[in-house]
Amino acid sequence: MTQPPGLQPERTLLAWKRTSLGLVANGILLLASGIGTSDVRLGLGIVVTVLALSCWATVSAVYRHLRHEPGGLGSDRVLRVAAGLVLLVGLFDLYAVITR
Amino acid sequence: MSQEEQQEQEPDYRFTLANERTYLAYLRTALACYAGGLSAAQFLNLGGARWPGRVIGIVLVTAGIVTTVGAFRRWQVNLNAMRLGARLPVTRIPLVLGATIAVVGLIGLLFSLLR
Repeated sequence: MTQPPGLQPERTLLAWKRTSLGLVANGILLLASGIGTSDVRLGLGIVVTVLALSCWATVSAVYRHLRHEPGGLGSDRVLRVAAGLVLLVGLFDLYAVITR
Repeated sequence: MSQEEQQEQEPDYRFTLANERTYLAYLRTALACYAGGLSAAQFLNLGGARWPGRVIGIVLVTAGIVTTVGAFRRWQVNLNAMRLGARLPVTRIPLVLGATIAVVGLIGLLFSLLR
């Protein structure tokens, strides 16, 4: 079955991009909280920033390749990985807040 | 149509994508809570005392973590409901999250005014 074209896939991919940007912001904040005060927080900031930029790159690549194939979006596994990633960043941020 | 066939019915892809976007909106809200919490602990200057900023930070980051878990569960529950053709269940996540942010914001404001 061919799926009707529409802006839904585009909006969903933009939502993924905004979420990736949220991850980037958290990475930068973690970096800022660690510079000059804590190597652990700095390291966590680098990890989160790299993960966030990878996420951004992946989402951008998906945006280019799957623009007209809405069926290729958002598998259960991808959404699980996203939740796990955000949860991990949350735990890092919690550590950063407690040790600040 | 038998009940089994009904259970296996995939929703329209537009609804699946809308569910995914709602999930991502929750994740972004959680990320904003993290960022707010981290900023409070990092930048909130309350007359030299660090603990108010730290407490605000812990509450906000914890709210973000709860939202992340709740968002995933919500996405699953919504998808199942759509597959079964049932009503979407009511969620309390926005209410609880909104109340938490409002209370934390007010406390932060009071501390800032009374310092």
